[in-house]
Amino acid sequence: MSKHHLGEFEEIVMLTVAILYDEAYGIAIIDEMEERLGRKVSIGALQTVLRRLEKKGYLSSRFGEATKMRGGKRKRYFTLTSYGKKVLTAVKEQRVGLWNAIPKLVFNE
Amino acid sequence: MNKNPSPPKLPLRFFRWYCHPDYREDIEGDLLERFERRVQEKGANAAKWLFFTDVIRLFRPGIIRSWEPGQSFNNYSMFKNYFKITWRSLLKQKLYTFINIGGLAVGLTCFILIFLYVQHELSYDRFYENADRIYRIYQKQEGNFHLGSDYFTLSPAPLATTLTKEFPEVTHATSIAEETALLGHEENHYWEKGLWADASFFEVFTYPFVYGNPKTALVKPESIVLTASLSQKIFGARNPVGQSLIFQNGDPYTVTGVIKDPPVNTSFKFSFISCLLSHKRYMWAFKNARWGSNSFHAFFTMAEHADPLQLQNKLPAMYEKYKGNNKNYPFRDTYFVQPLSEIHLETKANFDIGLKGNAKYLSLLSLIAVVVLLLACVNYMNLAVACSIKRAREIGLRKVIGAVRWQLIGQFIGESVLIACLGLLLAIGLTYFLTPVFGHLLERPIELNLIENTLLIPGLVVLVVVVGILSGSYPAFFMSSLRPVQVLKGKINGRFSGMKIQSWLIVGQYAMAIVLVISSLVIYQQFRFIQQKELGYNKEHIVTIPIRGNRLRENLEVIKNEWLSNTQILGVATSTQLPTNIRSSTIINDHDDRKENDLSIYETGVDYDYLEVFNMELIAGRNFSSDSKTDPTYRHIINETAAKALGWTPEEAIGNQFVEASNKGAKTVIGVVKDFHMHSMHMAIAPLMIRLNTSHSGFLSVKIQPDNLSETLAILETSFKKYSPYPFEYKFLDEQFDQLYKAELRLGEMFVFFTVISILIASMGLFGLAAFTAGQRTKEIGIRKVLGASVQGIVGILAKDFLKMVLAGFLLAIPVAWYFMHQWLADFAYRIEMEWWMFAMAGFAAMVIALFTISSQSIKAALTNPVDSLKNE
Repeated sequence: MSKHHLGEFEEIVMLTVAILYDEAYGIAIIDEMEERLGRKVSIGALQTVLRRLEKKGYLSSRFGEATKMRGGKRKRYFTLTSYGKKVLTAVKEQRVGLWNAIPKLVFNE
Repeated sequence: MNKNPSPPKLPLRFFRWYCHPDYREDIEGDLLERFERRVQEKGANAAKWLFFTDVIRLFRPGIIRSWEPGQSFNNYSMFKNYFKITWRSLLKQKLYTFINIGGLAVGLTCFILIFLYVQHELSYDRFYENADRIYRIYQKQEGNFHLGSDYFTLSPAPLATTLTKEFPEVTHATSIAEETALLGHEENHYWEKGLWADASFFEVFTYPFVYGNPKTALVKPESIVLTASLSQKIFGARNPVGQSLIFQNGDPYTVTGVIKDPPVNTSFKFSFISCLLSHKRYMWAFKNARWGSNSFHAFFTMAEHADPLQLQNKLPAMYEKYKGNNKNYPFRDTYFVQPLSEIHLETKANFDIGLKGNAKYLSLLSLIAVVVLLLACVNYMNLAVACSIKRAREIGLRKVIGAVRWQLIGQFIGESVLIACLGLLLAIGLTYFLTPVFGHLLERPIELNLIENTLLIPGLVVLVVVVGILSGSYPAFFMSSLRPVQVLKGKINGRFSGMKIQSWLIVGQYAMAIVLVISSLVIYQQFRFIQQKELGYNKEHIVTIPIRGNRLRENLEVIKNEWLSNTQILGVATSTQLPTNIRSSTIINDHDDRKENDLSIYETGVDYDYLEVFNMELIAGRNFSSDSKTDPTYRHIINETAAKALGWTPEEAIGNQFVEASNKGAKTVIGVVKDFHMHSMHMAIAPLMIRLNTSHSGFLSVKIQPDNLSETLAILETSFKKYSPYPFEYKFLDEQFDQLYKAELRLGEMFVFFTVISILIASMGLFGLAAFTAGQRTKEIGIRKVLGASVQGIVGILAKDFLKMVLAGFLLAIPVAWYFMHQWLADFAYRIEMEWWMFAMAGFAAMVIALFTISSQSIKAALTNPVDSLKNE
């Protein structure tokens, strides 16, 4: 089970990438996280995590088309790999398992 | 206003510089997108600032590119490979490896040995608590030359106390005299070196006490402080304080303290210190304020931050104030202040206290150490460059794979540091075995103590790195410059540019070696010259015995007659000094009382048999005669030089008179003795007067038959023991004579030692290079043989190049050696001339050694069957 250990931030990044589906590139991910979680994320923090997840095989990336915006630089779009999906599902199941195991009493107050 | 402000240039450039190239484009895009948006939302300035912080926050592992030109942060496998390759190439070329490591080891050994010696010599007298504040007074009496120097370290008895009284910056001052004395306890007698010192001695010199109190130990007369080892010898393990010892004059002295044995690196060698207040001559000179009689050493401590030079400037005024009755003395005293740390290497002054080092040797040996080490480094350079051809392919391949130049340089320098380390390990082993021998040669207790000598390990590490870099840098630069394409095609031959520098290195090596050979030869010849020179007296088969104690002195006539009754003993004479070294001097005037006619003259007191025992020749007049009642005080014999100095021929001198400054009454010359060498050959023969003096004799000189030596010595000892409690110490006169040249002898031994080593190293280098060249030229030799060349012809061809280098080295060495040896010989008043054959012989020897070294390799190459060398084309 600890085989696919995901950090909290890693997990959020992967989920955000999943939400954005085909449009997940650096700034979009940051915006999305800011909007949904109210969390400020620096480019540096995000980019290192993205590269790490890519290296682990959870994410894959491709270049988009060059546009006039962004000084003519291409965007790099990230998508979940099937392996990444599996890991994410496994994490979710662990969480759900944990939630289910909580005695009803605890939250019934 | 700019509508589209661009992001700040510097952070952007910084980002582009550090960012991993794979990520550069899209992250830069993100940065720009964010920047553009922020310009809209927050304005240009805020956006610029935030852009900058974003760039800084991106500077983290994961984004930063790898700094290695190739890639990867992990060089482990590369270093492993370096080691592996180094190790293999060392094993593959065992001969070169041996020469390299061996040569470096020998060079390093010499260096470490000399380093230890120099370190020891510089460590003298530093162990006292306030060593940096201890000074002494020495003085110069302009024109009062004694043994070639008008400096001396003795000072008047009242000086020390006057210093403390007159100058507040002088905190403590003490007077010291040296004396070897006989100490008696119960039935036993001990002949020991000692000091006389006053109560302030232990304030200045802080020797730790085992028993007793340093403040009171030397306050009372007839008290004595022992070193721990002497106390152990006399009293065993018990506390001796309060015990009494019989001093040689018969008085009982009370032991008031025991100090720990002083360390070896101390100038003062003693095993006891007795209270100066019991020293009769001191008390007399002190009470009568005799500022003209210089017999004591004055040492003192100064307050912290006090300037010794300022004190020195105040000394003339002090001297004027106190000199008193000393007005008529012809020479003016000038006092100098000298720090304690300098006295071990101070040799210009006469009558100095303590063990002396030799500053000249120190610098000479340091020079030799560096030269020998350089020779070894040169060897390494030569062989490494020579071998690099064999490794050219490796270099080519490394370059093709992507090694950059500085990596290769690093690799080869690292390799040479590694070899230097191996050499050092060997050198430490060698040094360990050689220190006793070397220490014996130098008469110093040097030892290799890696732990206690805190300077040693860091020093050696630095040394190895320096040697490694020094010897590795040239090969490294050379090898890393090879072109991969040429190398891999195999288009490199022996005639590359490195050969030129290599030849010069060999020339330099041989020049140094030949300089050493010539120097050794000259030193040896000069030594032989001294040994064989006509001295003017006979030094063979004469036993000398110091006369100590009144009982022996009173019975001299008895003991003389006792000895002379034996047929083994041919003659006995007594004298105040031995003819090998006459040190006492006086001033005379040829009776006209004009000051400019004053003559400083050496003097010695002898008995009636002196001239005969030493075979000294009278060229005019007569010897002292026991019949003549007036001989004792008024009749003198002078030497030829003295007669000449007084303006007389030997014949005229007889009957002439002169006066002596310190004694009243005219002296008459009764004889003139042929000049003899009464000092070492460094000094010209000086005027000498010989007076009859049988009551203050210092030595018995016994002329014996050379055979049955031990029997004769036994006879001498038995009679001696009857009249003296002192140990029977005898020395042969020729031994005493050799003592005069101990420094030269030691220098000679050193030179021979280092000459052998430098030749060894140079030969090793030459051998390696010869082997290499022969290997390079196998094909050429094969073809020559096929075409009919003889073995001798081929050997000649191979040897010619090397002999040319040796010859060039020889030519270079001649002026250098001549200059140095000229300097050395100038120090002798009687010396050999350097002759052409000494140079020729050194050159010839170098040639022969070089020829011998290269011949084995050349002959081997010449004898190879051409089929073998030519078949694998």
